[in-house]
Amino acid sequence: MKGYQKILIISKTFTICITIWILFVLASCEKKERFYRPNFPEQLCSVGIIDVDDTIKYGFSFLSIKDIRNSMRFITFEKSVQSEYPEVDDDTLDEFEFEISSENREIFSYRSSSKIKSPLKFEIPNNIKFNSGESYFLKANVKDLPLISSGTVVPNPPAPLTLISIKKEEVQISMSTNCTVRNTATSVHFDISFSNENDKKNYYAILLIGRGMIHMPLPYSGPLDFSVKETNTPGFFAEIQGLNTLHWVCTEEGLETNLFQVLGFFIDGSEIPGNSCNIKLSVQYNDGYSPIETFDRARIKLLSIPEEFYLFEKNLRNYTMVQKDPFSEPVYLKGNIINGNGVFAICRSSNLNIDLVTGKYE
Amino acid sequence: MFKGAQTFLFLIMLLANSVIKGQSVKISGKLLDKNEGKPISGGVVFLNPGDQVVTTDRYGDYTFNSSPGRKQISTRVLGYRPANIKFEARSDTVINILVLVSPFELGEVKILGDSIKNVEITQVGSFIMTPASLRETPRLFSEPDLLRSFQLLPGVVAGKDGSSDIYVRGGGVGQNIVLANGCYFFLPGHLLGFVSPYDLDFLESAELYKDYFPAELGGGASSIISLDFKRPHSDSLKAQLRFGLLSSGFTVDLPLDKPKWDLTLGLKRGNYSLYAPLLKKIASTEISDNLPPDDYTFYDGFLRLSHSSEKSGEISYLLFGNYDKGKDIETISSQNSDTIINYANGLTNGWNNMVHALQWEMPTDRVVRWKFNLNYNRISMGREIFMQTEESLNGSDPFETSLVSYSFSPTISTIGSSALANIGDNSSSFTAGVTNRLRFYSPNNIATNILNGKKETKVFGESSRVIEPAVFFSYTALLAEKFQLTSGVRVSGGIIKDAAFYVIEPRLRLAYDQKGSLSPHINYVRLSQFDHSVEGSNAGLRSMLWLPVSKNLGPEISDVFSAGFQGQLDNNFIWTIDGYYKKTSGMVDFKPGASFIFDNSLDDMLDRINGRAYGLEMGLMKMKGKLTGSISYTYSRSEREWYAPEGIIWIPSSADRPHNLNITAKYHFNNLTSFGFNWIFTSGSPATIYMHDTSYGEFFETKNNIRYFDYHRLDLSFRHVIYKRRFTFLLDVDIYNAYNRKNTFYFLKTYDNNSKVYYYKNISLFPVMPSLTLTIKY
Repeated sequence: MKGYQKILIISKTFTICITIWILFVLASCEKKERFYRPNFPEQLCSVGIIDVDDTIKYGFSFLSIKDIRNSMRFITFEKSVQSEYPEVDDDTLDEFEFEISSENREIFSYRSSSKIKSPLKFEIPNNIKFNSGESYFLKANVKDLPLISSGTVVPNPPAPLTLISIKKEEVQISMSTNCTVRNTATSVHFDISFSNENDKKNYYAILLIGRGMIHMPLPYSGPLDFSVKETNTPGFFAEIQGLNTLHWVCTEEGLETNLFQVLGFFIDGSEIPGNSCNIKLSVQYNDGYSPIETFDRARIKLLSIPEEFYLFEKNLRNYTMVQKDPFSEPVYLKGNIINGNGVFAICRSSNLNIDLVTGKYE
Repeated sequence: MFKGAQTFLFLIMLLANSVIKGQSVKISGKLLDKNEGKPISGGVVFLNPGDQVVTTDRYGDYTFNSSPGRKQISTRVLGYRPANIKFEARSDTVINILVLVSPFELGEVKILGDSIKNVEITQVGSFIMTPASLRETPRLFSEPDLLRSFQLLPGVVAGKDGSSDIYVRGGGVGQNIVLANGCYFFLPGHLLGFVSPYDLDFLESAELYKDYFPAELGGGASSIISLDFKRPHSDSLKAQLRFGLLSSGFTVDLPLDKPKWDLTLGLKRGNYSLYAPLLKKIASTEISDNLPPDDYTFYDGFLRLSHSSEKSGEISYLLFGNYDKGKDIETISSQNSDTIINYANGLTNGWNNMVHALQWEMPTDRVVRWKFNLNYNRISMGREIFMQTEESLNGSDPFETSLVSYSFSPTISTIGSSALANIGDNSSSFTAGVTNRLRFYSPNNIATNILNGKKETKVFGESSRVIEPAVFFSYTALLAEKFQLTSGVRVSGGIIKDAAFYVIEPRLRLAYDQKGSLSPHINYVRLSQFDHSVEGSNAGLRSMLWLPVSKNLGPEISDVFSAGFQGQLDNNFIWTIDGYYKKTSGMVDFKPGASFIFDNSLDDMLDRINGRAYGLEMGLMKMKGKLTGSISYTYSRSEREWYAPEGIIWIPSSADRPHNLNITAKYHFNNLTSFGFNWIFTSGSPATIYMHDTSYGEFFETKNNIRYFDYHRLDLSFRHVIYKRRFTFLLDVDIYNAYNRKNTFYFLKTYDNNSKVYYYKNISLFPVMPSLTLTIKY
């Protein structure tokens, strides 16, 4: 075979190989660019946070927003969803029933034979009493899903809060929006403490309820944002399901009040040095963001909470926070609901009521 | 379990007895430099009649199995005169071949013999990459990467897409320890794990121990990779220069006449920073977000100085150094209503390492052969992430600033020493020795959180010192005709200021007809590791957290039982099939939600867990001829404990990738041109995603609850060699992922605006990638 014939054969073979390869590449390009989660059965979830000692309903009746959960005696039920399976996902609870019982009797129950829209919210009536040291159980069932159950032991009431000092001051801010211009705001600093029995496993949450004027003559009474300026005990802020507060937000339509989840400050009692926890809380208002322009009364609420509630809130806070950390592990959000998800917790509380106009407190 | 194992052993023995063939003799010995008495590795030894060819191992050893009769052994070794020996083989025969250095300078040398071009399996089931196989091994991305080559072997499973990590028999990545010149260490990969620091061009040979571990080896709970760095192969200067896609480098072999020392050295540099900006421009956002920072660069280098003589034996010093660093800062501004938010996210990543290892092997012709090691290793890792947020109202001074940073820069310094004595011959030998490692850990894990000027700093772990002494004995003997017993016991210790741990590690292997065509074997080893490598399960960014043993974290202990067969056919094919069961206790893993930024202590972040793995691995390798290659299949299951509310349950571990099929082939058209391919299939890697959505958040039931898509790809390679006077030019053209499979690096949760549902987008890093490498040898 002559040289040019060899070259011809080689070039033809090469061309054929390249063509086959290109076709192969094109035909083989991965088309599975999407992964859908396996269609897992839905789960019944419940978040029930009940403060035995708080019977107040913090309503914002002046708002057009209805059906908000704003008390410390709420329990909600919902089905978990996988939005990629709309044909399976059904946001109704069919033949739903639930009960809360003590060790020897049923103390609250609900049954429905019809379909109810999820999430379903209940406020536990004020006349239902829960006692420290006793166990209470939750059971809930919905058609086609496993029965969920949970149990919790009511902790002892926390020690009373002690007010060490209050300080109110004008602070400089710089806020200029299309809706408002603010150069000053008011801050109130509460220096408080409470004692802890170190030999017991105690967990705490702190909330701040305020009363003031949104603007004359609209009163506001409900949870307020606060920050922890100084403390001798580490803790973290996490959303308390079932409680909301208001913020002013500048939108295209103008200044509006929007609902936001309330953040509580959570403490593990074992991390309190000695037996006294000291905290300096601070509330800023009249700043164009806080709902109130005047701050007349403050109620600092110290909740004694079960361990499972503390851990659930810690997970919930981690779940939010670790989105920012590329080295973190996925968060296992699990409370004390068996066969489902969520948390069922009954808490006790003590309150420190402070009249900011007169300076009296109790 | 063990009752079943006994039955299995019985069946193996029964089968072994049924396949005993006719009489054969073993011809073995050493290939030695006549002047200096040093063993010659990589020498080609021929046996005729029978046309058998073997390559000597790192100790200069060779072995043939043949029929009795008149035989001739001949050698071909670069830089040495050929040797020819004729003899009568009536029974097993030992012949040490002494060869003389060729007194004249060699010109162009082409070895036309049919030398071995593939990985070899030793009699104790470990894999050896010899100089010949190192030259011929498939080079993915044209990169001479040892771990990527190991990824193709039975029992070895690759890490995530593109990663050079290896999982051996279901163990963790950090349970594979490297041994070089008597020094144990572990190194992370370059470019966030995509390139291993073990360059094939730097190596004389590499051995992967994964089945039987001689008692003198310890420190890795899963495998040990023994590296032998490059030695000179002639009396004249040899040099090599390589220009590749991922890295470029050179090596030099420099024999020195006065004094009689050999010097080899090499250096390579990563090229990624040269084209990273362009690569990121053409890649999609999801891909470029996961690529290493633009200025990422790395260096690897080694220097080996050795002296060998009949009088003093072999003394060698090894310096192995590595450097890796990259920094990436991204700034983003966004506006939410009246608030302007400025984000700055940064990642700094890097590590550096140095190994100084001195080894003295006393002359091998003495009754007691001694070996001494003294070494120092220091590895320092550095990784920092920070996230800065400034919120301001319409350009005014920020009303809220926050800075979250996490720096992770552990340093581990190790001073190691060992003494080993060996007596005996090929029929039986006894080895005993002691080793000690003194390790200093400085964890340097610091998380800082600054919110509106208030700074919170957390420090994880504390400095510690660990003394790791060990004593070992091993015995190898031919028990009866062709029954080989290899056994040993190692007692390893870990002593810290408030605790001490001791592990007794028995090692046992029983094999029949080890050089035969069907050689059954059973194996039991216990391995221990006195440090913990904790792997994260996030999107490809391994945390590389190394922790020493402590009072609460004892050693990791693996018990591995395996049994199987291996054999050689016509001195051309090697095959192996092994089943194994492994149980590991004392491992450490992150708890769900563990975060250095948001947790307060290591206790909050870590769980102690146990693991178990089992599998079946098989491989067939063709070592000689125009067509060489291998097929390997591994069925590998690996599970670990998970702390569920209802108690401990077993879940798949990151190494659980059941099916692994590797096919590699290389066709040598002639001595100058070859074409090859690799095809790899691996079951998808386990991963964790949130499975259920609720109004308050997402949740999942267990970790590793899904699998990524199955991994497969085809690589093509073409090599042409040009000899030009004293230069040899090797031109390698490779196509990585030839059919452009989008193998999963991770799943990104994405919202589909059209169908209004979430889905997980398959993010793949490496599409079809052609590459060209030019190697110039002098």
